[in-house]
Amino acid sequence: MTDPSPGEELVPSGRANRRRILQLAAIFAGALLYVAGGLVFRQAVQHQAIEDQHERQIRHAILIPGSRGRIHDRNGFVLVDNKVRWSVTVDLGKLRPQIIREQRRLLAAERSAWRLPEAYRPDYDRLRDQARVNVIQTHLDRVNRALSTPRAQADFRVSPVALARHLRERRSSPFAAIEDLALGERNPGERLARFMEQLPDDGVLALRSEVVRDYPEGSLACHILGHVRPSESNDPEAERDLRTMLAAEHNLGPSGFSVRPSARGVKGVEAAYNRELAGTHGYLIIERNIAGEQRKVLASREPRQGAHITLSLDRAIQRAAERALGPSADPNMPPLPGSAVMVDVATGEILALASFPGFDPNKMTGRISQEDYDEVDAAGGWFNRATQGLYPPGSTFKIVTALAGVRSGAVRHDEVLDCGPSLMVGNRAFPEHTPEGYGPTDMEKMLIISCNVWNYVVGLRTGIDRLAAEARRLGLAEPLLISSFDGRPEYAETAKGMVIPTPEYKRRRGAGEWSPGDTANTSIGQGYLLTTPLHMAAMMASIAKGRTRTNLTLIHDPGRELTHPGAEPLGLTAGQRRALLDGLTRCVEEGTGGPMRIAGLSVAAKTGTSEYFNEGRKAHLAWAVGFAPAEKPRVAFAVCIEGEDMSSWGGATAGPVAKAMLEAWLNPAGAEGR
Amino acid sequence: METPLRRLRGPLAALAALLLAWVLLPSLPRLFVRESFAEFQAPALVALSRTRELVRHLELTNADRETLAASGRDLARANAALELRVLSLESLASENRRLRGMLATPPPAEFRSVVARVAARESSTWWSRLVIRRGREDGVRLGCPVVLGDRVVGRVAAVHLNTSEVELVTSPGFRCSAMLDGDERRQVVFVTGAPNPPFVGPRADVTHIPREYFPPAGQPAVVRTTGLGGLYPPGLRLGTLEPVLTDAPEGAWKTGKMAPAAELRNVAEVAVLIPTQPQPYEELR
Repeated sequence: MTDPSPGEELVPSGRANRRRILQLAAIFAGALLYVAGGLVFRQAVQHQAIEDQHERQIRHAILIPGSRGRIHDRNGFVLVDNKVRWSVTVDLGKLRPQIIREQRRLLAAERSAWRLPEAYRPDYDRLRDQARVNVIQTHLDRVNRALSTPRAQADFRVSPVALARHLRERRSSPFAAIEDLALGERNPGERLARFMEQLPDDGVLALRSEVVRDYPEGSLACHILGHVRPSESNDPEAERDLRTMLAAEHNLGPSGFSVRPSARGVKGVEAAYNRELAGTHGYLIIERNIAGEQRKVLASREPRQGAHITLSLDRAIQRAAERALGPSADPNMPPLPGSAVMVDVATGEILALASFPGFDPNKMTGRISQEDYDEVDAAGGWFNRATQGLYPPGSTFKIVTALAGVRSGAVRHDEVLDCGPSLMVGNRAFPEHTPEGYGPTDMEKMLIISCNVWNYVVGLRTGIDRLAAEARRLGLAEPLLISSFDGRPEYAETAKGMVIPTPEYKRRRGAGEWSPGDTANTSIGQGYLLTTPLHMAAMMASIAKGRTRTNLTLIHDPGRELTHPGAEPLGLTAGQRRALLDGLTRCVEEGTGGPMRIAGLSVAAKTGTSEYFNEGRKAHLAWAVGFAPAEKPRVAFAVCIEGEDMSSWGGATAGPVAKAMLEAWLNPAGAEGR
Repeated sequence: METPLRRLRGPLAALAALLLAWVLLPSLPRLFVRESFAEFQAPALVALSRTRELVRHLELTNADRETLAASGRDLARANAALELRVLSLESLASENRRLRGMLATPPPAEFRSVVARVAARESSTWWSRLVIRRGREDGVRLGCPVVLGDRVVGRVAAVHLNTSEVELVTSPGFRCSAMLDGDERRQVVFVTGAPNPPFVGPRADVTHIPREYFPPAGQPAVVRTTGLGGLYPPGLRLGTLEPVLTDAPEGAWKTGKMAPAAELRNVAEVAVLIPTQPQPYEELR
């Protein structure tokens, strides 16, 4: 390219200039037109869509779960309530510089203590974990200092296990270094007040509150009450319906919702009646600014507390049963696993249902710690022995054998059988309790002394089919705790595998053909027979009122219509019934049921000691079933205790538990005071 | 020719060095500088405050005899009423001691009071801080409650030799536990200061009000100190709760606004309540 020669114009001519200006103007006009067109398009055509989008961006719905309803016992005592739990959280993000400094200090200390070279590569993860714990503990020491008074010293420590779990699962949220600030405090207000006033706000420690489930009686009736766990939603179905309704009414997008945490029943009545207890969600529809802060409330609905449930349990009887089963029953003897049930004969309402060992549901309301879970699991505390425990009923089944025998005509109630020390069935001698035998024995005497040979004979005469039919008629294999209102389970943790053996059952198991020996075994409640303590309590309630079935329930409802599908009269003559009642009553007065004797109360009961395998060792199961008062029965009961060897006996081991329940029923105020 | 920027290079470099030193200086010298500034500033503030008082004194000395006589009469009446009240309080105190002895309850924290004149108040921190003419030499300690009669003004946030800084009830850093009149369950609520927008009366937040609480009808609920935290004696008036309560985001509580009980617009004199026993707050600060 050559330079312009002198005199040549460097600027374009006026004409060319005008053309360029026009071109530029046209470009600008086009751009302006484009922008204006875009604006018009957005304002006129896309107006509604943009407004919708804007609304969706600034509108937000907060769903507030209703607080759970309370659970009372039949007398109105609160068994489950809600309480506010205060926790202290630590913002780990703000502690980062301190943690790094502490980690360096630990490393230097380690090097100097062990004279390690500079090139030494330590376990940095371990050092960091230790540094975290140390730094958090220094802050907890400040809390301890602030909360301590001359009367009570606070001593909160960091749980390294809880911290590790927090870092693994919920790293982004603050760490709850103190899960319950007021735990065990008679006056929680003092701790809160001291935290607020004595501890300067440094932004690291914060006080958080949440509503949690409270079980004021601790582990009382834990298996029946169950427990809750933190949940995103306490009633997913209702929440989904509410979301749909709010999205349509308030133009909310799928991400325009946040839900406050709630709790969901996972076991027991808490789970079975979760929907009723959960209450109704409330909501806040808010408008937020660009920073996400609330600007105004557009609409709201108060959450409604869930329904209160009144259980049929009687706190005094339940407490007496648990005390009798638990460690305080006899300080010289280690407590044995077992269960006890008491039923109101007229209504079928369960007055007490205890299973030992249990657990403290208060520890389960948040995240269950692995230690707590393992401790309960190792002791077998999750298992409700009263409803899920399948046991051979032993001698308590002799009542069924007697009923089957007299009803089928295989034996008369006053027929005297000569009962020796054993009975040969096939080529096997089935033994009696005593080497001498009981000699002449009728039905009444059999019930008093629990004679085996009488039952072998009557069982063989009656036959397994009629024996099994009688057991089924009394509901020993029926599912229990089904609501009579809507047919749904009142309580889900019940056994499904009850066994009333028949030849068909034995064949199905692949155990060969049924033999007379099997019938003899069944007649004394051994062999393949399996049932639960709850079934035995229901059976005794039915026998007490002269019927075959009792509709057990956990819900207290004085206006209930007392019906049970499948129930029929027991079908005993007056003489047969008299013999049965006299036998059971005399069993307590002069027989094996002696430990159940109570002055001024006639108790009709039968004890049983069946054999089972406890961790591979032969051991005794101690049973006591019955009802009282014998003449006009009002309560029926069943107790079953798992012996750890052959030293447990029906009367001696299970009898005192039954007696404790009966005494509490007779004198609830006395039982409460103990 | 030297440009203006080149001429300013020296001072700018010095300023930058100073700023850098300020940022890098460890906290101890910084604290020393801040404290020294407060101590240097204190005499000026005290002198200013005394001048204001002198002006007020001169104003009062010019009052006519009739006014003075009327004031004297009013004071005598007030004094007589207060003497009666002191007698009644002494009797209550002795009854209280007897009951505490029976219940073996430890005595409540005891306080002695020191009257302090307000030395200065800045317009930028009008609703959050004021400076009083009492300091370390008078026994004032960190965290001591500052009251006006039975009304809480705030608490001591910084102590200098002869002056102290008071954090007002409406200051965002203020925290105190409280109870509400009309709450039969006597549950603890929290009072925290809040940023106050201009042209609106000062307000503090009351949080963690139980959902089942409703203010007594016809009169505003008084918010009082609990005495449980150890820093404030029980029963002091913090303020009155405004009737509109809103649901807290946690769902379990309500929150409300509180108008301070003490007239914070114009505070001339306060009393500092100094606990006889040292409180953890002083070392945890």
